[in-house]
Amino acid sequence: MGTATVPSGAPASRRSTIIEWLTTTDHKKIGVMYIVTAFVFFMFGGVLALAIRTELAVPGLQFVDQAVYNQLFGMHAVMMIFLFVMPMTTGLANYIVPLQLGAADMAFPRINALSYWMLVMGAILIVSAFAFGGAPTGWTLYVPLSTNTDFTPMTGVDLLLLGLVVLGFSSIFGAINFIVTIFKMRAPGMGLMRMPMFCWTSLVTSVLLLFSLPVIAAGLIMIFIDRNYGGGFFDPALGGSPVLWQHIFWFFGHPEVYILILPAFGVISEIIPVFSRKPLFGYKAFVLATAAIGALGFTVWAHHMFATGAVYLPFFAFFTFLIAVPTGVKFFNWLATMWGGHLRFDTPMLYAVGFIALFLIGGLDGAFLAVVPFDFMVHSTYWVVSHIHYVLVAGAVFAIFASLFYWFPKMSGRRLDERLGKIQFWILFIGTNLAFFPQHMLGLDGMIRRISDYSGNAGWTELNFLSTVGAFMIAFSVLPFLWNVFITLRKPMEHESDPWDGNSLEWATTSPPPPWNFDSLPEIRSERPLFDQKYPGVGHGPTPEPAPETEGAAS
Amino acid sequence: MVGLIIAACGYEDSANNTGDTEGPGLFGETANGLGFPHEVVTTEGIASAGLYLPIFLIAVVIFIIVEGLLLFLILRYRKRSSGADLPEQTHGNNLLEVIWTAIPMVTVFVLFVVSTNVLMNDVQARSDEHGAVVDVQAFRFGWIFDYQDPASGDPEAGTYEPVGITISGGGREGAPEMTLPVGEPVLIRLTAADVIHSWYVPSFFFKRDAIPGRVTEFELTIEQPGVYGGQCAEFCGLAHGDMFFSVNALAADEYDAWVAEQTGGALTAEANSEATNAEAATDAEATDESAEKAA
Amino acid sequence: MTVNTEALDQQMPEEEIASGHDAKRGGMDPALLGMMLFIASEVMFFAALFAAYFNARATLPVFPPEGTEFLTPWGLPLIGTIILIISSFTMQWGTSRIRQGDRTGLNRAVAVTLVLGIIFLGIQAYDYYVLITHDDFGIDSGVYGTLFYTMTGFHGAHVLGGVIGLAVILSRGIAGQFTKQHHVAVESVHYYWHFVDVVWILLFLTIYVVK
Repeated sequence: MGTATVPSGAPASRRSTIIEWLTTTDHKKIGVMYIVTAFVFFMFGGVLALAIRTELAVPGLQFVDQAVYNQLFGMHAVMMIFLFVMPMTTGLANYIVPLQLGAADMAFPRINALSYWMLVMGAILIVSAFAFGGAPTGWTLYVPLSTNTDFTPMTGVDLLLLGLVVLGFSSIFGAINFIVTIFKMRAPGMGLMRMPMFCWTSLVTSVLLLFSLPVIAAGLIMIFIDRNYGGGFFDPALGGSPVLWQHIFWFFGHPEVYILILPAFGVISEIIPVFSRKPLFGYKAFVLATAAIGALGFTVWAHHMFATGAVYLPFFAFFTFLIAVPTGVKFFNWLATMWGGHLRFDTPMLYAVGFIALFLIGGLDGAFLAVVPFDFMVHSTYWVVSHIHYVLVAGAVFAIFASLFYWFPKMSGRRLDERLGKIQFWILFIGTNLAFFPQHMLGLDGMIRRISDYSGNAGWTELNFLSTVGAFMIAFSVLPFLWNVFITLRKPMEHESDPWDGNSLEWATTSPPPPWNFDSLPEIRSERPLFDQKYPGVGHGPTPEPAPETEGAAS
Repeated sequence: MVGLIIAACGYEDSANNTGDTEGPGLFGETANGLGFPHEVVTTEGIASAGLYLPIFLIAVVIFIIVEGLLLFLILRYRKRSSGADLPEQTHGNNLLEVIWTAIPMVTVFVLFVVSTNVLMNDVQARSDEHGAVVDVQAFRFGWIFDYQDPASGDPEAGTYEPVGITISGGGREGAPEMTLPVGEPVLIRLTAADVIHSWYVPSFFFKRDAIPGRVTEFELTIEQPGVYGGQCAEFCGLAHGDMFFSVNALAADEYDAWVAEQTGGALTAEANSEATNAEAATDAEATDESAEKAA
Repeated sequence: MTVNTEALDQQMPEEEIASGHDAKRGGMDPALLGMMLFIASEVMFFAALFAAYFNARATLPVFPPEGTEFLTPWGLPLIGTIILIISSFTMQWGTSRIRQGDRTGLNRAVAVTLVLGIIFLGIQAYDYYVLITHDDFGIDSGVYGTLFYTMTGFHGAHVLGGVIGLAVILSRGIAGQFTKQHHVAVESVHYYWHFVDVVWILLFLTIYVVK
């Protein structure tokens, strides 16, 4: 695979103690802790989803009552968004970005550790809400329902508010860390336009976090004040405005969805080129499109509020339509990357292709929602639920599994089993479509969100039942993955530095890397420094001397 | 195969309806469960629903193109041998990128113009005269319909005189019914008493949020007589899923007769509203009780 | 040592001197960049609160709502404002001193700034006390009261954070840890202190003056 200049073999290290894990400031260890924590909450949030879908499978309240159900859907969303996807992408970026930049660590390693432990603190606060009545408000915490303690007296809501504030600051510090690392710690020769795409998406994601999280932090504190100190931010009787909360929430909430998906775009943009053995088609356009999505993401928030009658509809509809363009452009870049390539379908690539196939549906759903009169019909119905889950499950979750399979060898020194990976992929692929495609019909038919039950006369039973079957398939697909991780970690390390014939610097060191990351770095002349080194004359590396001893790449 | 499952479930379902949810069957009549909009019965709604098909077709075309390309690429460029040779390392093509940026841009621009047109001219158009004016107040967990006299409108102050018809109710059993005339624009002035609710009638292809401290207005012109089910569409608490109502659209002369009947004699109107208020109170209690029982 | 002129801010080449080692490819010291980004996020935090204020101001038919009145700037608020503005000048003076290598000048200026900051906090606390006990104007006095206490309260919390930062650089300065080439902590704290002052000026103008 790699040339002789790529280090291989076991790095000189021993197993770390628990204390070392708890006190580490090494981005690689912190990254692993983020990833493991996130996966635990993926399963926790998934169990909540199963509870929801079990109740909705057939009409009638068989499984939970309304009071419990109303806690479930909000917590499911909070966990999946704040305790799964965000920490997972943060963890992957934590591990990989410094390596891809050729750096020894993040710019602020101690703050990096602080960010992780703040995640743990926030998670404890949020989970403890269950013991205090939960938070039956939805993850959007709309006021006055969430501020009026006659309606939501439970302390669980306050715990959720505080937990989210803590998580917000954890991510703000993380964002500062990533931005400074990316601007200040790139290896010599790596201009911004030679940075791997995953680093670019991490950069734009961090900027979005930096500007949107403080706004929601302020808003959450405002709810807390209204709930506990008689504040009048959102109470009309005291001169407050319920719509103000929606503005504050969605000013954060919309950039948030790009925060969730941009890292996924970055991962797909790493994997497709490697497994097509071609460079990313249109690197510059891709960077521009990512920046455009970031900027435009701040202009569309009120498309979540079309049905209030309180916002200027044409402005937000226009920008919502517009933001579809840079997103769509990416699809063509990915397809053009594959065109004429030599495609290998190892599990990371399966997931990447699955992402492209299915994220499209979620994206098209969103374009429908930009049509205001259509939104009047399907807002707050299962059409939106379908859209959300296509972009987040078929989108973010697929990209997350792609990245786990892709970078697992770098982190653990062993490859995950391909057969188990493919089994998992197909179960997840089928389950995802089964779970969420019928929800388009349900939404168009008028089934609203956040209800624990529906009439047997509505004609929705079959589709709901199908959706529940799909949900269980998704849950079931986690089992081969867990088994895969378990048996793989028991195997001896293979220490393949560059198992996939990769392009970027993380593959230019041992698997796993030594604590200081690199003993030496290849020369950097393009966004594929390792490729250039391995394939001189083809990439941007110097053309080899015509000497018989120095051979180029072996396969 | 999906169809078989659906068919099988269909038979199961009627026997299997274990729930206490023999609701008013509000959606039974108009739902077809197949994924295309209901029959839509308002002028505004028809215009809105008319946008669905063209956009759906565009989406299908995009879907076929992208998925088709993907499938083609997967099959055509599958790596067959494990040779070390690399494919041509194309970095980009400016012309191609300009084209595939411009075409989507033009497409979304057209969609924007078309949909905004429908929004401004059809959905949000306002008339001067209305066949009915109803002040709607949403509350946890029901609705109050307070009819105003359409002829009494004061454009400057934006006020109307009440007519003396007030209908309220809540919960599954006590879902109140709003009677409206067919063929004339109706003005709804919507607010909420406590938390945010939403007035949603799928057959009208329309919803509007009811926000405390705020009155929002919209017009509907119903084109066909019938009973149309509605439901609160913004999460408002425990019995959010039970907050039904219905709209009974009557031909103009029948509507006039209904109004006359409701207002004929002050006693009758008061007795009506008192009775429905009492029902609403007991219904709300019943909802709480059944929620507790199920717990 | 060569001064790297590839600075992000061309008008302040002293910062390059200040950052000294390890500023990759020139430009701002990483810690300073980190502080600027942090300040940017805090600006967004206050922006949300200002948005709430302007929203209430613009949409309510009567502002402030019944039962509350506009606060007057004369008296304690004005004194506090003047003190905070002076403290920004003293902080700037201290920073320019250490850029010349004058440690004593730095320490004195930081000490004065610290004292002024504490006085500002004291004035705020006393102002709150008077408003609450004397005028019965609290955080629960309608949306105006809630806005006032939340905005000025969080500003006060940020001043407290700045005071802690000042205390840290004062003690480090006294211990002799800053030089002409190495004093990025002073630069960071001084930017943060200016931020705190600017937010207060905006708050003062919005709540007390322009109303």
